[in-house]
Amino acid sequence: MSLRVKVFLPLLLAIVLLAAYLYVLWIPRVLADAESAYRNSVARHLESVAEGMVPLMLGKQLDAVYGNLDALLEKNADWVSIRLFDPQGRLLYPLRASGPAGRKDGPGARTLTQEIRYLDAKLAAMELQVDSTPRLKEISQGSQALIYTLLAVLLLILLANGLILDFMVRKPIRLLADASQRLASGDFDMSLPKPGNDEVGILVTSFAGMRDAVRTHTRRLSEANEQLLQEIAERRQAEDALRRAQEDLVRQEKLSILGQLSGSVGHELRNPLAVMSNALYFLREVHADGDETTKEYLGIIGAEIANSQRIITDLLDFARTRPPRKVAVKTGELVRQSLERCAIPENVTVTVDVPEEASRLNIDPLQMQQVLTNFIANGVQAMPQGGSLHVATRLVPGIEPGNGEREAEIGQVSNAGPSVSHAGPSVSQPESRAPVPEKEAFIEIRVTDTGDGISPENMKKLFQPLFTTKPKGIGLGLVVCKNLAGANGGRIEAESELGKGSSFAVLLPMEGGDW
Amino acid sequence: MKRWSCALLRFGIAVALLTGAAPTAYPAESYTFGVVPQYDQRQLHAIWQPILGELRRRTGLSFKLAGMPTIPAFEKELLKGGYDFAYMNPYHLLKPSSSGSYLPLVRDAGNLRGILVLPRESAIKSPSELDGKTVAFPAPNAIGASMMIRADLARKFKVKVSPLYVKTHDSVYLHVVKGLADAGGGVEKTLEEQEKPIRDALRILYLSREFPSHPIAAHPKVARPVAEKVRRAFLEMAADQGGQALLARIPMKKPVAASAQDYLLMRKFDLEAFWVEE
Repeated sequence: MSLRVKVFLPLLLAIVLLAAYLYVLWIPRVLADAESAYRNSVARHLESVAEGMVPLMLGKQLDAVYGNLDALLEKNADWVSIRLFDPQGRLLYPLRASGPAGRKDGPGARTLTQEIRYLDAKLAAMELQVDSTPRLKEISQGSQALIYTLLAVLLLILLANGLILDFMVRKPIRLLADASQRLASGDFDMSLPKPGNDEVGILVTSFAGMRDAVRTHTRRLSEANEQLLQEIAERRQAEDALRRAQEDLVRQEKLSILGQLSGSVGHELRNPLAVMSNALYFLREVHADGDETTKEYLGIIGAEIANSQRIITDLLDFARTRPPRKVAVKTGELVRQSLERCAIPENVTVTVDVPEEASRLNIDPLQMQQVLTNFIANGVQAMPQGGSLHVATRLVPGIEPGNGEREAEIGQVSNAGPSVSHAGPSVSQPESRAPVPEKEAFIEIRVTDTGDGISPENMKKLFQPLFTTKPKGIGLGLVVCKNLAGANGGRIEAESELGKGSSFAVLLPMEGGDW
Repeated sequence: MKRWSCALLRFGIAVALLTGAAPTAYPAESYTFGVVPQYDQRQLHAIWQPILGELRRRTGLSFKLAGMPTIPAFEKELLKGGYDFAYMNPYHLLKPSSSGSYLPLVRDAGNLRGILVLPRESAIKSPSELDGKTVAFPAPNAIGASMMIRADLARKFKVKVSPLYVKTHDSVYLHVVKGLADAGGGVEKTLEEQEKPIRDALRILYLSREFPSHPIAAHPKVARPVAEKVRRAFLEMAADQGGQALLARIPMKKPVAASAQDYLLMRKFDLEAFWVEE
């Protein structure tokens, strides 16, 4: 129930009760009093008329009596009829006895009688019939008009009070309610009604004080909260840094042990493998005419010896990276020699997109051949059912000092960027970047296959040591490639889209100008 | 202070002189006009005040209606010469007066006749049947309605009635209609002026001899030119429609110049015995 209803419903009920009282009790009482007063007034008037009639009756001036009574009837509209009788009961006035039509028997009709006496003698008797209905009706109408006016004034006052209540109480309270809601939602910049000198003004002033206090406390809490969050973030960063440092330390320690072990094992196994390889050579010579089964088994032995040698080579490369011996190398020559070192199956089509005027690279050609050979071998192995292998180069201009956009391009040579996306199948994984000298131009050599691609989960582990998806791999190839690229001032990027293929690129520094 | 007092005194004198010298809006000469009270005073004033106003407009003279509540009081004033002009009973002209007899100026061309009226349903067929009956009269000395009728009843029909004097002709007719009197004396003119219900309720039993109508007369003390001016004014009023309407209410339907000679024939009626001193 609203404040307006609470305040005005009792007043409205009071007005209704007042109206009912006026209608039911007051008007009938007023009418009764008016009728009584009217009857008394007429009686007194009739007495005066009787007094005035005495000399006329004594002087037998019947015409004057007629004139007076006619005049009285004419002037008093509510006097219905007058009848004058002599002491013997003979009708003196009016000229003819009025019939039933001349008399009224309405609710306001009354008959008054008055004797005309002189000393002790009765001269005549007057019988006056009056009808107070019109007068009472007039009084009733006047009373009703008064009541209507009173009710209208009361309703107007009620309406005016309603407007005043709205303006002075309800509107400020509504504004305070809105302000409270905004305050609850943390908004302290609400406008408040201008406080007056009444209770609502006190409430507004109190609310403003409360708002200011809450604002002050909230600001202090926010500041404390921010400080706490900052401390937590700093602590979390410190913990992350500490955790990363510990992980790096553990990894470095493991890699160091792995490197030492790999170097030792590789060195020890290289000689027996060389002996086995020589022995295999002689067996092939001896059994040059052997049956196919023998040749097949010898082939298997040879392949496994080569595989083992490659594993040992990876182990040794991982254990210690030889400092590069950089020379100027033509990009096309590097690509051609790398392809020649790889056994490309017939079901794999190789396309090369290397411009004749491609720039020269300042690199160790053997190390970079090892990197490209690894890219090509991985691509071929990713397409056991056949496919196409595309090798392309392109110039990546050097970085101008302060050119952030250019820097971003170098940092994200792959279009997809380093993130892994589950919505789309394309995933890129740039390997950790080596510091890139300013104003230095690069040549990107990219090897793209149409194999099955690499899953996002595996892309994240692609450059981690000992991670491999191959049944005969030991997971050191790409790690070695990354180390070699870094040692030659370049870096490696990888992209893959599951079901469509993968793309590996190495960015290497140019040597001088164009050839 | 003294200077101011002198200036105020001079201003007052100047105002007094100017006021005295200014032409007044009212006539300097004023005359009293008496009317025999045949009707009640209200009706009498209603009839005569407009006539005197018209008279003043036509003559430039001022008239004051001197009302008297009863005929005896009027007659006393008349005998004293209390009115400059008067509308009176014809017999009043014949009454000797120490102040001098009034001179008739105008009268109605038609003569008057006294009448004896009865209730229409009355069984009386002749005045001779009224012996011992109550007969209403306006006043003892009303010439047509009372003196002429009483004289004829007594001398011609030899009957003795109980007179009931009821002040006016209207009252006489009402008394008869209401059965308060067996018969009543009036004149033809006043009966004709009654409302139809009263006229219908009455019938005339007897008509008296004719005599001239009530005159408007001037007292000898009134200057002759003034009296003549008043006579001319009345006769002129009779010449236009508005004046006729006013005079018809006296009633005086056709005013003509009157002279004392017109009324001398009434001496032959020998009514002195029926004059009652009140």
